[in-house]
Amino acid sequence: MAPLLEVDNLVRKYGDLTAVDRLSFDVEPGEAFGLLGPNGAGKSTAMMMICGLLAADSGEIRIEGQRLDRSRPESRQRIGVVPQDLAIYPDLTARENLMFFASLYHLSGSKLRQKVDKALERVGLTARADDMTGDFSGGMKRRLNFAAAVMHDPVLLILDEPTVGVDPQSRAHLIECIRSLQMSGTAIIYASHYMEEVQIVCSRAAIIDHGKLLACDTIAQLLKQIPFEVELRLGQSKVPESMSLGKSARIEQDGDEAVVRFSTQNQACELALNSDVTQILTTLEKHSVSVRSIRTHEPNLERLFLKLTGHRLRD
Amino acid sequence: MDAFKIMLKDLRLLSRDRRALIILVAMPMVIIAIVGSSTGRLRANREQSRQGLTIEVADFDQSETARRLAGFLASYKSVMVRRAEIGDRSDATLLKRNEVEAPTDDIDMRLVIQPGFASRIRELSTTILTSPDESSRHEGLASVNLTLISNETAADPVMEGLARSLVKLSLQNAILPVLAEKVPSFRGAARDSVIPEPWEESEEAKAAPTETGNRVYQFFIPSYTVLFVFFLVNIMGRSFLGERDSGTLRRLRIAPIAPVAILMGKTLPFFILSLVQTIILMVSGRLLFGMSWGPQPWLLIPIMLCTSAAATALGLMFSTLAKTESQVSSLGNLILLSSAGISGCLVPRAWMSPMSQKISLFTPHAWALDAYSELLTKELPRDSVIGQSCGVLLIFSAAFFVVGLYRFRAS
Repeated sequence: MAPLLEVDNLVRKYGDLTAVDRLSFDVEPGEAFGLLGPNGAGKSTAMMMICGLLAADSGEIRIEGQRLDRSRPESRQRIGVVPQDLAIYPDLTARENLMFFASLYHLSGSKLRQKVDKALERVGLTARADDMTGDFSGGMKRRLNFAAAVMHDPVLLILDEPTVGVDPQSRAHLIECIRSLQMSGTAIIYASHYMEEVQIVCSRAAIIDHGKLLACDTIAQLLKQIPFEVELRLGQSKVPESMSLGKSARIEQDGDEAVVRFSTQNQACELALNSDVTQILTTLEKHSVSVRSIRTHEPNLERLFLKLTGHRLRD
Repeated sequence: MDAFKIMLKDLRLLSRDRRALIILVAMPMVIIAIVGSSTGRLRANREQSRQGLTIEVADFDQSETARRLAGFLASYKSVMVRRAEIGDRSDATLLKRNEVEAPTDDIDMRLVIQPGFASRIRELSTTILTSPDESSRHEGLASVNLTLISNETAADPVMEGLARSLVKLSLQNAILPVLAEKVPSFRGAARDSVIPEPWEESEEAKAAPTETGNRVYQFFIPSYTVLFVFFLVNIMGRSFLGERDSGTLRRLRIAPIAPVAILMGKTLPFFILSLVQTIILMVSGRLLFGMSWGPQPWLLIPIMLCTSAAATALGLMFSTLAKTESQVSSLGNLILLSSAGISGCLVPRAWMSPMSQKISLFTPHAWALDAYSELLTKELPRDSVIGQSCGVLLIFSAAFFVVGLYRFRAS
């Protein structure tokens, strides 16, 4: 199957700064694709180019095989965008907002009303449809912001931090909506700093920094780059010198406590890890060393993200 | 079609913005009423002087030459000559009073023709009589027994100078028969010169019911209408800024619609609002302040359309330039007040220096005011003047819109 979205060697410069540097990736129909990167990494610039808001200095974007041409507004008909900042009119009701935005995508008459009713229902705002949105809570505004982007049934939906500042209920509801759209065949590009959301929603992700693509793969494959770690905190400061815990384990001193750490490179070695844990616990018991606590550090996108982009603060 | 959708949305938003509506419609009415009633009298005198100089002629000479002088003076279209009632022309006290006392408020100047005026003309040499240079007559009009007194409350050096010049020109014509007697070459001119009738024509004109309306408001209402139509610049700036700040402008740009449709959609509601504002002010002007719509009221339509087009296009351009609320306020007010001052919205252009009058033509306001002035204050408005003003306003509109579109695309 041909990719729905093809991003090919995209470059965008602002003076001397290269915001996006030869960025390439594909998104399949019905796929949820995560776009991760620290602030200023080039995510927003890339997304603005994909939705036709910004011209690329070089490179190409194709949607359903057709080159995205900024001079042809109709080429944006198949794209939906949920912007990070709320983009709704506070002095219009929820229904008026949706009617207006849907009409811009050439929906009219009964079809328009149907789509608006469906969208209101989807985001749980039917009861407040005729209230001014200026009086809405943050979560309600976010849900309306989402609804305004999907009424025209886009084939590609770009979400930029769609759950910022919302309560857990609204977040769960929005994620459910996104998954429902994905199931119905809409391709999703999901940009967020909430890594756990990306892990839940997306099957593939790309990590970019300084405009460059650092990693792009399925979530499972990406997580293989991060080891599975186990940490045993011992109830004493020192361990007997004669005690050997094997090659994979190391004993470190953390204040008054001795800490045993060991890891496997990926989750595929789960069996080996179990075996290591059993063996180490047996050895510790044999030397009468008690274990105060056990902590595991599972591989996740956040650890991978920090590993690839570093801990330096970004502007 | 897309522009129409955006227009409807903005009209709905505007209808919910009571503050903007009050600023655009109610405020001009209040200001016109306040300024009109407080400074109306002075303006009325000045306006009357500017548009039709009223000169009272006190003829103590009662000679044919004096009658010719008054007749030629009355022949100028912008001059209305009124005969001062004189009982006994030999009454020296009456003559003195006419020469010293200022005319009443409804008269701009008084020309006193002293006894012996015609005799004095005959006494003067040909050289002096034909000299265009006043200095050769040493004492100016007084040297030929003429006195010109101006109205103190509406004293205006320009008007006084104009009246003095008109009297001198009339005098040149009036003395042609005298000259012809002294210089044969003037006989033809004296024979051909038609002696206008000074009193009847002027008094008939005075008595004729003319559709000139209340002159104060003939100036105030168009001026303040143009001023407040251009206040849209600020309101449009705020609307654009609000759209940008709320993120909805980005959503519009992401939608499958052309930038020009977005701009048209953002501009049209204000164009309509501007027309509504103008119509309300014109109708109120007529009903409340007795203002006239001129002899061809239908010509108001192109003037209103072109003025609104220029104002909204300027607003659009400004909206794409201003980036913050403070820029909208400070820059907007600067543009509005300076252009209003330069253009003649606050002070009639006729009162400005020639240089200022030329500079004012760089503002659309001035062309709009010219068109309104031609229609509302002239007995026979010239279509060519109104057409030219409307054409220039459309050129301004197109230029502002193109700059706005360029800025919008580039942003």
